[in-house]
Amino acid sequence: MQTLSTVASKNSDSGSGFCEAAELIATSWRENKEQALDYNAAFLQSCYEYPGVDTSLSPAIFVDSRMVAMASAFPRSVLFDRKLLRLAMLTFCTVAPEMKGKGLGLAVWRECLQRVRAAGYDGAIHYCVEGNKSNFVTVAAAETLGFEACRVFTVQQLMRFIPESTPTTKQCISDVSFRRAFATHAARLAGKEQFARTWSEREIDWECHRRYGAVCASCNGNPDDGLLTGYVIGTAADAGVRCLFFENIFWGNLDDLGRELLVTSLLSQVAGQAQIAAVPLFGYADMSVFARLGFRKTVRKTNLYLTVWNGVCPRTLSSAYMDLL
Amino acid sequence: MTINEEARSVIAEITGLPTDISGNADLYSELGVASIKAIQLLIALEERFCISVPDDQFIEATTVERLTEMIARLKQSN
Repeated sequence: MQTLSTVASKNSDSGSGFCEAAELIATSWRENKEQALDYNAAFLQSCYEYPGVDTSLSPAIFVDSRMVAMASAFPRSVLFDRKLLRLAMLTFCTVAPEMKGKGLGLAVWRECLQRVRAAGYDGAIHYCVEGNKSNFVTVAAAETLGFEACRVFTVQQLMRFIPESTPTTKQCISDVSFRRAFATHAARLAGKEQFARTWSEREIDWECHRRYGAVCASCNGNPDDGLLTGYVIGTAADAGVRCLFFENIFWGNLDDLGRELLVTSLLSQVAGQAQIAAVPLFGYADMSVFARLGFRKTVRKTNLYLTVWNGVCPRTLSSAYMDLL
Repeated sequence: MTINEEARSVIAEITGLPTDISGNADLYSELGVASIKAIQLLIALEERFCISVPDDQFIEATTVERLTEMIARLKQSN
């Protein structure tokens, strides 16, 4: 029997974390040509610990009490054209391999959109890897509800290997001064960007400190000058390979040398833990330092879609300050 | 060895694909080469052919045929 519930409902009862959802993602996404990151149970749990998450907005379809489809929604506050929007980031749309082609992806995505709309969100954002079928499914799901999911930006990525021989340095501590500096840098960026994420103190704490695999770096211990954050996560393609994923790039008043030191500092912190580093290109920060440090542009392109219930979607954004999930 | 044969040999070494793959098959969308492997391939091709490949040109060269053309062009301009 097919039943509709939430991703977390069974998990919270059993206390088993997000094992079933993680297993579903791993099994289903293994079939993708472009392999993803290893969204294991601990990573998912961390995502659901983001401040303000309402687990009831993440629908899951069960058949005979086994999860066969799911989608997740996480809150994001965004300044878009100076207007503050409460958006839901929809992600992890997954259907069990044996259930694909039966419309479950469309159904679970529609359900997710309906739930976040009913919960008072202004709209939704989501990503699809270019060339993936999900680009059509998610747009179609929005259309069936009378909304338009506009592809507003395409995120490319830089990547490089982190040699094991990279000297390791002390871990950066995201203390109060670090988080205060983060807030200042992010607010400055929000004042300049057309589409920019905004943060509460609790969200910054999660991002810099509590999220799965969180790492951070500041230059000479002075985060006011500039800082970086990211996280380390395994890759689904190769069990032994872990990836440092850059998240927030705040150059502050650093010159080229300072920026190089900052990036090198973050790479050094994860040397031995991560073998590759990936940086999404959102266009909000100058990325020339990464090229100088041997980062190369990858073939992977990810499309950012924006859906707003009331109002007009921009056709395209020239840049965006957002996270990629 | 021609450039094409040498390129096929490098692709096989890095990705595990056979050397006789179709010259027009897309390495990424059709043959499933992941982006991590793509970076390894890019670095290996640069080393093997002693060339510097601009990232954007590499991204456009998604098939063996296009990679061969790109390598030949870059070797010529060196």
